[in-house]
Amino acid sequence: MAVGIEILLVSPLAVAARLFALLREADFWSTVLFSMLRIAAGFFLGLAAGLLLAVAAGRFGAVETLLWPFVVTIKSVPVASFIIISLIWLSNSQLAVFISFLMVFPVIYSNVLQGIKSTDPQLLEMAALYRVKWRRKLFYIYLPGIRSYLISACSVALGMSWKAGIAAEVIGVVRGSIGEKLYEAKIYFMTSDLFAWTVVIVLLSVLFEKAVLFAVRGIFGRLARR
Amino acid sequence: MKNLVMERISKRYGEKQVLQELSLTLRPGSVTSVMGPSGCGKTTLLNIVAGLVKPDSGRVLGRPGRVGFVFQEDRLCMDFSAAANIRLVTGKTGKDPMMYGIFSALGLQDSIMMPVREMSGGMKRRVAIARALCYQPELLLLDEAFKGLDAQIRQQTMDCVLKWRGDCTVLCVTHERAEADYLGGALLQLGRTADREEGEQGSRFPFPSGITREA
Ligand SMILES: Nc1ncnc2c1ncn2[C@@H]1O[C@H](COP(=O)(O)OP(=O)(O)O)[C@@H](O)[C@H]1O
Ligand SMILES: [Mg+2]
Repeated sequence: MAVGIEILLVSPLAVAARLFALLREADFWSTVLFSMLRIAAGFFLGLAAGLLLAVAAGRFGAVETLLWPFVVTIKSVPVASFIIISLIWLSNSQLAVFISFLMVFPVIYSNVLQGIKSTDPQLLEMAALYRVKWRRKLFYIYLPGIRSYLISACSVALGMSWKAGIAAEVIGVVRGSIGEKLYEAKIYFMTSDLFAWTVVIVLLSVLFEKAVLFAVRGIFGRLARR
Repeated sequence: MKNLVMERISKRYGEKQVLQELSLTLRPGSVTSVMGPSGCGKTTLLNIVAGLVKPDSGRVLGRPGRVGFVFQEDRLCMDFSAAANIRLVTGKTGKDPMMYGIFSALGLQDSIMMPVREMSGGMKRRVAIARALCYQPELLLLDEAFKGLDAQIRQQTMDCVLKWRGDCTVLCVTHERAEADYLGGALLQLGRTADREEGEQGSRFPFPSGITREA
């Protein structure tokens, strides 16, 4: 292994070599799966909660008022504080789910709510005149307007969920997670490991983002073909 | 069915008196055209009749429950097909023979499933008209509905409106005398002097409305 002179910086070659070695290690895929499942779970929970509550807030102003202090708090409290608070409150293995959720929810909620509020008032007036039911209005009038807001929010939230989720695993030294590998790389000065795992995280994050955005676009495309 | 009565309606926006003490009675099933220069309050009048805008004073009596409105803008859901735009207001999910009849009469029978975004301006206009007709309104408001259609299609579209309106009351704003004549019925001239003298309205003779020609 490249411990020795290559502590501060490692050559790309050493990182690549370490990466290929990692792929053949017994616990590589289980580690990747462990972190990915939790971060993805947090992401989808945040997405679902953000969407539902934004729709509710768009319909009932009181919901927006009630949620406002929570959303502002989540947005402005440093993620490290949340991680440490969660370590005290929650089971260590589910930490990344919660932290990923906290990163995603406010971004999705705020953006979608903004999308709902920027809906064309002339279309809404038309719908009111023709006595269109609320569910149809949501589908035909609000949803297409939400599209671009949701896609950009997802894109931002996906990156954040990976960064914060892994950070939580590092701080919590969550057993069996990618974060734990990073932590070990740090305490044993395995710089090539650190870089190799970082490459893995970036790749996972990019692939996950592509997959989610593809799915979101696909869903909206299908709607339009009705 | 009751008469639709507008009673001494006034509306001002800021300094500008748009409508002043306007009274008008529409008989059930009648066709009435409204003409006047830009900015004289035609759209405002339709909005008040539809109940979308409250008049400063005066009232509208006998407004039916189902009002169809072809707005001056298309106001269509661009991401959806023409059929979906119709479904939005009719709520019908299965086959809708009336919709097919109306689209055929408008020459749009091959574009029913076309996304509205991909349509030309004239096609969008006709989808907006189809939407109002498919709604089967008791009162149909048309705000320059035939504008921008070329002569032959315009005639076809007016024929379609006359055929499929059933026995609903029609109030139609237009810039073309020929359109008003073609639709038949009474003609109301609005605010002839509104542009020259600020805040002043043209003479408002009590208009014998509801004398419908045979459609
Ligand atoms: N919502 C509004 N706010 C302020 N002014 C308005 C509004 N709606 C219409 N107006 C004014 O009222 C006048 C009449 O408008 P409108 O009814 O649209 O005229 P028309 O349809 O005959 O062209 C115009 O001068 C317009 O600027
Ligand atoms: Mg107008």
